[in-house]
Amino acid sequence: MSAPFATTTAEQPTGSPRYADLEVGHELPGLVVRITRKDLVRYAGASGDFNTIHWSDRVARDVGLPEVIAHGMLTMAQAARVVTDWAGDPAAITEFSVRFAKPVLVPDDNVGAEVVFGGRVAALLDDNVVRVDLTATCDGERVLSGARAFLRLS
Amino acid sequence: MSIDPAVVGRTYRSPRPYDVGREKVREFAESIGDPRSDYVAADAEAPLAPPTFAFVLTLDGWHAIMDDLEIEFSRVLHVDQRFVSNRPIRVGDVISGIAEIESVRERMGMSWLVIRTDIRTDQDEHVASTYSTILVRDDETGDATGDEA
Repeated sequence: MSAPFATTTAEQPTGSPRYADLEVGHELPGLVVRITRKDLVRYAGASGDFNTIHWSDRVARDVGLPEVIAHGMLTMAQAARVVTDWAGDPAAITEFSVRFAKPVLVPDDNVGAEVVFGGRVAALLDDNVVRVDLTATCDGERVLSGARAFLRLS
Repeated sequence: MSIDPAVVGRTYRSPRPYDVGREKVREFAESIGDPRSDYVAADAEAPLAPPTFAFVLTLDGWHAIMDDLEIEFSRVLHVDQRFVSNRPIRVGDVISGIAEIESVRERMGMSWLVIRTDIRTDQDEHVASTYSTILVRDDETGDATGDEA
């Protein structure tokens, strides 16, 4: 089974980051993800989120959207990858929050939408906890705002 | 439609305990394009579920709330989402979600609901909590970009 197309925009560092080695401002390797209608269908089935606005242009337009939009939770899950790919251990995440600033429109073609993710270390907190601030843009516009994850590192 | 603020504090429990299965976690990980070995390793005793997997339980609560308040799903937009984890969800966990309507407010002709869902195991271990803000649009509302003016 093919996974949605994704490429990292920077070399993955070897080994997991250590709290003591980090500085505020450290950039995490980014991620570029392409989302097609097929990916929305797959995510709907896997998550159980069958909201019609994620698969029917007719209903999307009925409720005032230009066309089908991606599940915000799919975008959030992809943003999490920036953190987990970098940290190496998904269990390190203790808190993760986003605001869905703008919908990701997914046209009914083979190209879909492209979302570009980035992240940087925003704060080094007590108990080896790091705050990472994340960005996500589609067509140059922010689709997530206030996206941040807290991780406990070794 | 406006939602009666009296619904604040109502709680909704998962219809049945959710048994976190290996193939479901694999399917979810593949659907988000992230089949990393922590989630899908065939030889792992209890693979982790991805950080946003808890949303599967959150959705059960949303559906119960939408049924109760007669909200049509297509009129719902997801405004924000937060997860706070005590530990990751793992294959083999038997978990339930207890959703609570934390607040309701009317703004720009739309209803905004904050829903908290506590996820607990059948041993009553608190695994995680999720916090969602959703917006319910009127039948008459036109533009729905999700932008907050």
